[in-house]
Amino acid sequence: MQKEIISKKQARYILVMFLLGDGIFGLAPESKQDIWISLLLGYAMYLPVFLLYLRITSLYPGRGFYDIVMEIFGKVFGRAIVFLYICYALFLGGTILKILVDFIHTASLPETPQIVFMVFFMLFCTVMTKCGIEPFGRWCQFLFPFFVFTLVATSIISINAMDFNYLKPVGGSGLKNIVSGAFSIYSYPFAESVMFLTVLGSLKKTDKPRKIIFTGTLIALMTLLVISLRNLFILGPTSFAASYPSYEAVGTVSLGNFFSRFEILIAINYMTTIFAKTSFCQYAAVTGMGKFFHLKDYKTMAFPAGFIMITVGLMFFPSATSLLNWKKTYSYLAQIFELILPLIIWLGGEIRYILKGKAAAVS
Amino acid sequence: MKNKKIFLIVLLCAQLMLFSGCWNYREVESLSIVSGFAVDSGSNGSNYHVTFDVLDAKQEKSNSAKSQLIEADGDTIFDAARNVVKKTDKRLYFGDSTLVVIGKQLAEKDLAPILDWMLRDHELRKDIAIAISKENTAQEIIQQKGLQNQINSSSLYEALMENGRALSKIPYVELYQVNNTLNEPGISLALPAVSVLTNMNEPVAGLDGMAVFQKDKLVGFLDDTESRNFMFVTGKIKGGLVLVKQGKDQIATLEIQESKAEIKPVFEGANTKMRVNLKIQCSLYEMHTQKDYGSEDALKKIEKSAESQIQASVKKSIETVQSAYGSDIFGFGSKIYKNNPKDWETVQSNWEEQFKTLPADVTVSVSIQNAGILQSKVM
Repeated sequence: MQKEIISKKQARYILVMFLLGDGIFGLAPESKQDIWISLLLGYAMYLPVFLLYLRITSLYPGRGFYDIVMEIFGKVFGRAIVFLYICYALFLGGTILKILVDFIHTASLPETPQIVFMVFFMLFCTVMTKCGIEPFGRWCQFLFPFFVFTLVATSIISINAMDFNYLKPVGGSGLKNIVSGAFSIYSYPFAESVMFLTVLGSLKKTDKPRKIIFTGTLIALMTLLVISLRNLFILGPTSFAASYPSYEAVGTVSLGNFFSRFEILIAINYMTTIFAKTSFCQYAAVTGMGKFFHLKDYKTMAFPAGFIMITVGLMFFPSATSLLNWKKTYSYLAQIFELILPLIIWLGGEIRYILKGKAAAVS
Repeated sequence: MKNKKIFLIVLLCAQLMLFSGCWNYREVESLSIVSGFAVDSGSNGSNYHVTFDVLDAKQEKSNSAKSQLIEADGDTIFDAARNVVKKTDKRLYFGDSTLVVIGKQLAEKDLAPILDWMLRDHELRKDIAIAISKENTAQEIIQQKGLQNQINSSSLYEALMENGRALSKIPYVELYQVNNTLNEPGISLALPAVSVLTNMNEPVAGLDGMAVFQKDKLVGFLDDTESRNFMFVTGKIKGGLVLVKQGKDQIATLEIQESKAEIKPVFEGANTKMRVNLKIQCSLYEMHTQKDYGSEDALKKIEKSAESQIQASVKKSIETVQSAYGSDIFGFGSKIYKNNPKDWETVQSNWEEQFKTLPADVTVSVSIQNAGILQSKVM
């Protein structure tokens, strides 16, 4: 099978869309009006992890994440780690899918059975995964400008309805809440960029992952900042209580009593970013399966992966409220994949690197 | 290969026919669009008595849409909304509701349970306007025919909206803002009040001052002047008039162009004081006087007396609210909380008591931009 190649820009927008994911629903309600501090702090917490990921990729330039793992740990242990990451990707994809379906179920179409929507949405994701990473990259690059457009448009339209006093008192939500908000933002979505490492094998040799990941996460940070502040300025404290703050905030905005109900734009944005995240999770899981089972073409696993994701979404989260509770646990549990396993891989890689150097010196 | 392609195209076309749109469609005719509703405490055994102002879909041919009232009882508001189906074959649709009128007795008990459904249900918009009935029931308000708009509730809603621009005497509060106020420390809720007024010997629903809350319980009403002064202090004024009395029979009418309010807490040792600074820009639009006020000096005089009159009126209103209701509708506490969070911690615990005796310094500066298109006086 010939190798898929994506450009630098495509890789960056894949990362941005993946990180935005369900974050555009509104993040870390516990930080209240200090959400911007939490976002910046969360990003600062992410930076060391970012360096860790970079080091891992720079040990084996031009290789994908799973290749690196297999290379370092060999067939058995390598497979075990790859298996864990496949589970992670499937689980994350299922969760994200369920988040979107819950949104549609509670906010607009309460009478449509969830499974119907899930199956159709997953079908589209599967088609996307089957097409491969190249069309997906082009899709992300194509749709991101629309996303930015709606974001800027809704922010400008609502500028009259904004009350900047909602920012005060700065730091009023307390250090504990700010830090716990920052931690949840660090682990969800920023450190999830560990999954993005799977795509690095498809980059051109000349493109440096460092630049792509850095600019990608920075764009995502900016976007999330604008979204959170827009919601806060429009809705005030109600935005911490709402399940879908962006949707409610833009819903209250009207242009001269005549143009109103822009919230449908937000619903479309949710769909696009969540489609990107779910598809990418599926891609990550499927390529992992390809490596795990040593398949010629990973794409054959797209359907089974999709079905597993639907099942995960339905089985683990019986209600939308259980998802909200899960998010708190998840930010800690995800550390296994975001921090601990990468640390192990990095240490293994360094040891291999030294051994290889010695072997080269002997021969 | 070719067969496969044809099969796929047929499949896609079938999908277009079968899977476009929602799971269960509803025709517009099968919906009753609620334009507003009035909530009262229930009479015969149930908790709530709700009156829905429903658009009459049958009247589409005539130019003006009409509405119909449907009442229902229920233990919760949603229950009442569904119990309507006992009388009509249609289900209520709340996506276009613009106004909720809440009865006095119910507001005196508690407001929060009523708001909960409105905030939780996905159909209702979160910028729906809320008003409190000054009459015994909210139903009386929504029963009155609108003057220019046949739909009673939307006529009242438009009066509320327009009042902000042209009259600026009564606050206009949206649902999510109510939730914000209830959840913010150091500020109490104030909502517009409506009552039955008369026009050409016929009753009509209209705005009438505002309602003052303590937490989510109604404690009393303010009249139009006090309500206007509340708007001055909270900086919500967008327009409206100020009448300046110059001795006997002499009234100058100023139209407000712009009004800015600045509230600053001042801490002097253990004492807290509020400094309220109003900056008002206006134009002179009507003069009932014998003297000629065409000169600049004369306008200065009007400015001076306007300043002192507004100052006295605003100060009196603040004191009335403090002594009669003791509820911080001006958000003085919230100003301290936002700008001096550390000082707020010390006063927070007995803010309600402290507010009642809180001294407020009011300073007003009025500047008259122009005197209309008449240079001198008539006669």
